Amino acid sequence: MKLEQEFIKEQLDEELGEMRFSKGVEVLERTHPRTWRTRWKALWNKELELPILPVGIGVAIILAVVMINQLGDAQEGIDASITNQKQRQLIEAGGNTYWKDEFEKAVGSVEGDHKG
Amino acid sequence: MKVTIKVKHLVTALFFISALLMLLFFVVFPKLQVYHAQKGYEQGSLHGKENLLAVIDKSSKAQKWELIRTNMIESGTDSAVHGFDVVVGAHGSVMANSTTGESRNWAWEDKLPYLEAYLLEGPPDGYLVRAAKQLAFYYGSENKVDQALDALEKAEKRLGGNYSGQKRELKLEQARLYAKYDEIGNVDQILNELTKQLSPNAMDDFNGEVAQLKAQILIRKGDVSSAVKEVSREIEALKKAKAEELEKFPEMGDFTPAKLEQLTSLKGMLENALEHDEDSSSTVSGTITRSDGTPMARIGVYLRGEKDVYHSVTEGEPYQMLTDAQGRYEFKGVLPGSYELYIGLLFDQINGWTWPTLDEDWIDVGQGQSLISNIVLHPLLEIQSPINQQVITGKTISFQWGPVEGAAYYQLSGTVPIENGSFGTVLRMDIKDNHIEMPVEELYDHGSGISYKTVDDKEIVDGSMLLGFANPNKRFSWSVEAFNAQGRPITKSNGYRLNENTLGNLPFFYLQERTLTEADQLLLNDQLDEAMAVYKKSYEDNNEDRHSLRMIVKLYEALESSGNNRGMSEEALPYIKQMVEVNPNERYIFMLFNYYKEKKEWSQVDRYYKRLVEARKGKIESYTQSIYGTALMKQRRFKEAAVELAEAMTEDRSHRFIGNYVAVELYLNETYDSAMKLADQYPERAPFEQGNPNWRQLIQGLKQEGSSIGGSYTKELKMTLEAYFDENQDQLDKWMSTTNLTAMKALINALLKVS
Repeated sequence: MKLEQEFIKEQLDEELGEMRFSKGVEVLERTHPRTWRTRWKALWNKELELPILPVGIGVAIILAVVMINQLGDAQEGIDASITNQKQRQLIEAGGNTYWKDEFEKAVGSVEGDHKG
Repeated sequence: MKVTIKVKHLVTALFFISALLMLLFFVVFPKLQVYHAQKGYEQGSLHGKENLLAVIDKSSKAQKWELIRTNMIESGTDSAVHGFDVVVGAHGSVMANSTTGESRNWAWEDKLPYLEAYLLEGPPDGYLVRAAKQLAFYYGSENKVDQALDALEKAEKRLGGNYSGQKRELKLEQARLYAKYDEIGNVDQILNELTKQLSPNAMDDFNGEVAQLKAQILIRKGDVSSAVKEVSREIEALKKAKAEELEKFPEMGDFTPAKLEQLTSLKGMLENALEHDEDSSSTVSGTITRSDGTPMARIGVYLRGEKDVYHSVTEGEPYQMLTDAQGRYEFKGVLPGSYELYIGLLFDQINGWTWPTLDEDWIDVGQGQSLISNIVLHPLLEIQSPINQQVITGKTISFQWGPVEGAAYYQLSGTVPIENGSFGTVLRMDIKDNHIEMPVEELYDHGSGISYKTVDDKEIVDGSMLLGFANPNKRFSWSVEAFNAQGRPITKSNGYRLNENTLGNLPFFYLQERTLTEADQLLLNDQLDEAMAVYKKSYEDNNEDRHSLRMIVKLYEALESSGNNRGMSEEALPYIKQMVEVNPNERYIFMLFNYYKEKKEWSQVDRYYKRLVEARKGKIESYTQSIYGTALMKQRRFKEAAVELAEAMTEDRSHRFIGNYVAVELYLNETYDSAMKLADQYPERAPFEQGNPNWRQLIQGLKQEGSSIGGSYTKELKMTLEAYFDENQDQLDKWMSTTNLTAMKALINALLKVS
């Protein structure tokens, strides 16, 4: 057994004899970063394992808040003008000039009270 | 479940997402907002204006100037004509804009800060000049002349070198301001400068505007003939330019530049003044307030000549301005003539208020006068009963409305809906209290007009209308107007009711006291002859059947009007007489009066006129009185005729029968001067643009012709007038074809048109 191990070692030594591991410092830098640069690089390449559900909910909440705050502002004017783009119309009835929508509402509210 | 991601990928993704959001929030949404705000404003949406102002406030500078330019400056105006929603005057109220959408006109309070900002920082180009002119116009109307001049000056300073045309316009505006404040020396100086800088293109409105201002100043100096020369010279230049233009571009077809039209109309007025040796102008001024004394600032005021009142207000009419902060207006240099006041208002200003006007309410301007005409707007009168489609089933209907301070009497009107419109009729005049109980029968008696419709290529009377208030299925409306002791209207219930606060009670009601009869049904189906037969039968069966008798009379009335007959037929007469016996309503008495007048049965005319006076409790209508006066004239009862006509003349503002009064006066007194005095006192009002006879001129003509011919002239005049009184058309025709007395002929021709 020992002989065999020694044999393999000899063989390996022989085969790798020409090779030298020169990046030891770099590896050390990576595994134990000391400078800002290396620390930043490590962070930049760090792999994160994110749980989809909580992160998804978090993002949805943030988006909703932003929507309400920002989009709501922008939307206000748009909504107002879209809903009001139904053109108002002036009509003459009973000798008066009314806005048609208001007049129809007023007539609607008295209709049925009297007219059977 | 988990997902593995490198920090660098997460950060990159977040970066792009936020960039996208920024683009959305800071570019896309604002653009959309601007687009929608602009659209909302243009379409007249509710709150469209507020939204647009909010967007302008938030916009970047470049965007802001763009929005102010398209929405305020372009639609803005430096004249008092535009920028109003409603124009109210003696000949009714006219909506200045389309009937769809909220008003797109800015109130000056809203617009002012934006125009000011534009003047200071907006891009220096033609729009800057327009903004400055609009501001100067506004400050001028507020009597803030320094601020007005300052606005013009600022614009002039900010303009670069290439704007000589615009700078010229600013100068002209400056001259106008000086003219307003009587600094004639300054005006003359600027006008002199401008005369040297006239536009090489004669079609340019600028040259015409300089001429108009020059003429205005000359009028104020009392030099009307020089004003005529100035205007004529410009008219010639314009005509020449127009001819050249037409030669160059024959495909354009004939056209009349607006300036040419304006100058021609001004020339007409000036020449008219010259003809009457009237070369000294007058001042017309006043205030516009609400009834509680609040002055109405920035109301458009238009003093409109006789020939102008029949079209909408144009920029070329010479007397127009805005009221100042105290609601004051003042027109200087007003040429002698007859004028009517009109005012321009925004919906917000008229909503719930009214300026009730009278027909033919003329301001007669003489020479060197200072006339004052104040306008007071009153809150709309509130109606109380019947309202909101109330159904009346009893024998009487009780009208009630809110009392009006200072009202001496009220006038009640009713409206029957007809196809494509409504027919209004005065139900009662001279009501002392703010309520009245009326028998429904009285409403049934009122006419509802006669209209026609085409059935199988034949024009027939629309039977459904003849029932009037007697149709239980129709929705009627009513209104009331309050008058003071001098007979001038104070306020009325009809007007602009444009929000919940002013909407008030709805003036609608139903009359279901009766139900439709078989004959009524036939009438509604346009079977007029069948309906007549059934009404007649019902009446024969039951002499108490007032409705059938009434409908027989109405049917005769309608049938005869469609047959082009004048007055009532023999057949109708007994029915009308029976009606008068059981129901001495003035409408039926008038029918008899008119019938006998056509037949020249004078004793009957007298009889029914007396009954009419009784029915109206002595307050006879001026039109009826004029007709009676004319009937007396035809009987050669001249003195009585003169009394009736004189009385009618004071009531009838149109003076439409003055011709007959003048004829009576000429015949009775044989003097031209007294007739001329009458013609001056009661000028016939031009109902149409072509004008009515000028009786003063006609009599003046007679006087001249008479003095050249001598004694026989008066005799011939009397003889011809007699033929006119007798309606002897043959004799008149014969005389017309042989005579060479042109002035007398003109008089007779004018008399033949009196009606």
